[in-house]
Amino acid sequence: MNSRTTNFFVLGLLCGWMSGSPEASDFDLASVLSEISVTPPAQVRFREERHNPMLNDPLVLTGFLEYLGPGHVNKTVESPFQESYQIDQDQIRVEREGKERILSLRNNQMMKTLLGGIEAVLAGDANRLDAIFSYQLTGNPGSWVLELVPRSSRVARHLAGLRIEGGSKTLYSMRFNFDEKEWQLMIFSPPG
Amino acid sequence: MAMRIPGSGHWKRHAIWLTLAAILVIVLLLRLNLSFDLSAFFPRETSLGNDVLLQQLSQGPGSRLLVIGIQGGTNTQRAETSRLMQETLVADHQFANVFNGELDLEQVSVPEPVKSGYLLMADVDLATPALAMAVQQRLRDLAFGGGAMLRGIIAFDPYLVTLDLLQKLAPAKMDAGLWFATDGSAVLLAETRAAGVDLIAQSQAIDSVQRAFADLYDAPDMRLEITGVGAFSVELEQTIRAEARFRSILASIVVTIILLVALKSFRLFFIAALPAGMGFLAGLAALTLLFDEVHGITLAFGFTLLGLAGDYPLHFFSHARGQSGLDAIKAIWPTMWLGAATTAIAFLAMVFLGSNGLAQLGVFSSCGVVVAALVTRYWLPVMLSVKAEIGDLGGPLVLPRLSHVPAALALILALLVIQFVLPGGMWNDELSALSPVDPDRIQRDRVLRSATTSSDMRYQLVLSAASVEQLLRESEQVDSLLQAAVADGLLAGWTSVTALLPSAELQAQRLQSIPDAAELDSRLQAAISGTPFRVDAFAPFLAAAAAAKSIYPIESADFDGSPLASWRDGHLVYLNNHWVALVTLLRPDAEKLERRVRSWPAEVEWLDLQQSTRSLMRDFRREAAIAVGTAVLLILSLLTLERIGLRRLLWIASTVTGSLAVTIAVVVYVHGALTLIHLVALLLVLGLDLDYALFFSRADSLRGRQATLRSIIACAASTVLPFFILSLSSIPVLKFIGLTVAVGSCASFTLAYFGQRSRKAPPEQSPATT
Repeated sequence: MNSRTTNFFVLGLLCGWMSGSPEASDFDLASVLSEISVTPPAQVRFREERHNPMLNDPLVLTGFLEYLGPGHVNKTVESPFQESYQIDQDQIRVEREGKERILSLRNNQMMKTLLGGIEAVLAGDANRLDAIFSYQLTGNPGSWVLELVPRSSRVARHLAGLRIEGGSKTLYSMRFNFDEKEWQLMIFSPPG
Repeated sequence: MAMRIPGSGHWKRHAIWLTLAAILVIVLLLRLNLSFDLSAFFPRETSLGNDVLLQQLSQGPGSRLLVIGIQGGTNTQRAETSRLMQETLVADHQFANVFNGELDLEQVSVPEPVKSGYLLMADVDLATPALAMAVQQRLRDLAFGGGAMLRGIIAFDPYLVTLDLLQKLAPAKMDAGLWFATDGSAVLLAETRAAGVDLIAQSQAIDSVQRAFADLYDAPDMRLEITGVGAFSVELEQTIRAEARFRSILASIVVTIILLVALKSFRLFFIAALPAGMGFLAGLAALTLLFDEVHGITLAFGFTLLGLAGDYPLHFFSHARGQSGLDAIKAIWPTMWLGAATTAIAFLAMVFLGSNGLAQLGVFSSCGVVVAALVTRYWLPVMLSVKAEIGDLGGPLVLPRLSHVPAALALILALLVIQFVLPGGMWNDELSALSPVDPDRIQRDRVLRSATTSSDMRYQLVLSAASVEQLLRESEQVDSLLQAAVADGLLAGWTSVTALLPSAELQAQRLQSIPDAAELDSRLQAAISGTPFRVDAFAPFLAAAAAAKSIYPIESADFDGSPLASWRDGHLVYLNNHWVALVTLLRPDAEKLERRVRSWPAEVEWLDLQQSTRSLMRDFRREAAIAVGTAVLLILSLLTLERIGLRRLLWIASTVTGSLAVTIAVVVYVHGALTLIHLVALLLVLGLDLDYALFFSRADSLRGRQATLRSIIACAASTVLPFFILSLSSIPVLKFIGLTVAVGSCASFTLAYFGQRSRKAPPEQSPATT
């Protein structure tokens, strides 16, 4: 694995939470975020499809995510191979085939932007999210879609946008569109 | 004093001199090419290591770096400005690379010829098991990350060899986030495509940086600071122009006033300017014929001739009372000639000091002085005749009474001061002391630059060979020796040109290990079977392997114009008809590693940059001492040949020595230590000393001696004041020269004046007239 690839991982890493919070009276970004924000520590299972033009079929990964607090997230892949990633502020610890490697996240504006943005989702901070992404929220409290586009043109060159779906205080899925040929979809389910 | 321009009888001589002046002007118009290359004042030659050091200082990649500091505002504002400036400048074609400490992996692209030729640049195992392992790893990478760039790289380089290579070549400290200096400034390094000495291009690049800063952030308390060789050169040019203009005007006004007071005639004033003017033109023309470029400092120094070459007409006018110009010049010419010849010898010593800049000063000054003396001798006399108003200067010639006491006292006092009052050594051997750049600016450059480098560049290995191929093969041998040294804990790592450019021999071995297209495709299909990869997913990899044969061999020139060119230039240089490789060492145990390197069979030079710069300056100073010593011997020989008499010779020697000692004591007290620039200025002082001492000690009539005193007072005043103005300059070189000559001229005059007394009785024999 190369440090170059760390950025893309984090996209998927920090987005899969399902949790409840007090119901908001209005349907807007603040109320939606407030509904799905979590209190660490929290854990969620995921099924991830990686659609890539180099592959005949999507690569399907399963495993679980742990949110341990601001800047601290673990992702564990259980199939089709075992691998784990631990994000600790500005670095990521990768464990692959018994070998551990630490990669710096500092040299990547896209990564930092995403971390900031996704943490804003987890913390229910609409102002912070708005500073990083332009957004469009459609639907109703029972079923909504939040489309996010990075405000930084530099980041947007490598990540076209995010599509987050949820409803009834629950985060259903997150889709990351890298470009028209490549995307990944994470579908969340409760642990257990 | 009233003098008149003579009739037209001398028109032929006027025509000759005017034609000469016209020719000189034409030569200047056709050939004058000014340069502001700071390294011109650094020493030439010495060892290979020193040559490399100087080459890197003047032309290496470091000389193309603009160091940008962003101050003021909050940390966040500085960081954001740093990022936005990096983004703006990296898109500007004037810059080859722009770094701010953040290596944005998404912006990195694999440049040619690495992209096409990586299979020749690294050992890659293309057997099926290794290929299968690489493919599996890339599948995991695709599960980890994504995006078009990652896909592109994996497709042509499933081993990710190119990324490992680029990470190896990346500048130091590229993984610790934005660069911040100790004073909090955000720091960027912008590498210009143009050379550091290309002032027009550097000036445009600096303008672009300033525009980018102004456009990006308008926080009122944020400031931009730019240092580096290019920035310093541009500033130096501007400062020299401004300083030269301002101080030349000021000095000219002062000299004009002094001369007008002394000569009491505008006509004589203009005539008095001719020797200096012609000397200036001749000196500059000589430079344009002997050197490709004339350094700006040399030109700025040119007006020092106002002080020295202006002395000759003053001597002449003072003695041209009551006799024709021709008679007057004949009377003083032997002394004047001796003064000019000894001064020219002293200046010529600079030619042999081993620096182009100083050699230019030597040629310019000696040529200017000789021409000024010749103009005074052969042109000025025909321009005027004299009517005596204060009586003629005739009468019996009297040798003055000469005393060694003032010079001896001055010498003792100066030696006591140097020994007991002045702290530290007398010499400043730092290379930076020769730099005309303000030390504060250099210090700021250091502060900003320190944020950007982590590896210690002090120690390097230097290899040289007649051909690149031979050099690369030797470097590869050294690589294996260094590998063993790393294993033994003598250093943490190294970078050598072979990381980018292997020898053709090694490339050929790698080429042979690449199977033919069908075989490689078969291995690849076996490797990807059982994975979700498409059969054509790695088509670019197969194409790269097939193309390797046509790319072989990758040569140094293949990197021209690539972002990697500057890295190559920092590790591979062509110098003195040899190719030279520089190997930088990471965290070496200097003492042990040096011993190990010296035991190697390969011819490798151990270069300690810090030690090297100091020894370079010491060598330079030693050469300077030899050159000056030779000049002094030549001067003494000339004086002996002229039969000026032992007593007079000794008096001149003691007066000159005393004056130089006082000057050195004062200069060391004010400037802390002597540099080579002070030494150069001391040569000028030596010239003045000789001039004053020769005139004060010559046999003359009583009125002639009064004339001599008047002329020397005018000479000293017209030297001290302009050089004092120079000593207030902000340019260290000019400041050093100014103070030294101003103090030296004062000391020369004082010691020569108090060291002689007029005799009343005429001598029994007619003395020598020199």
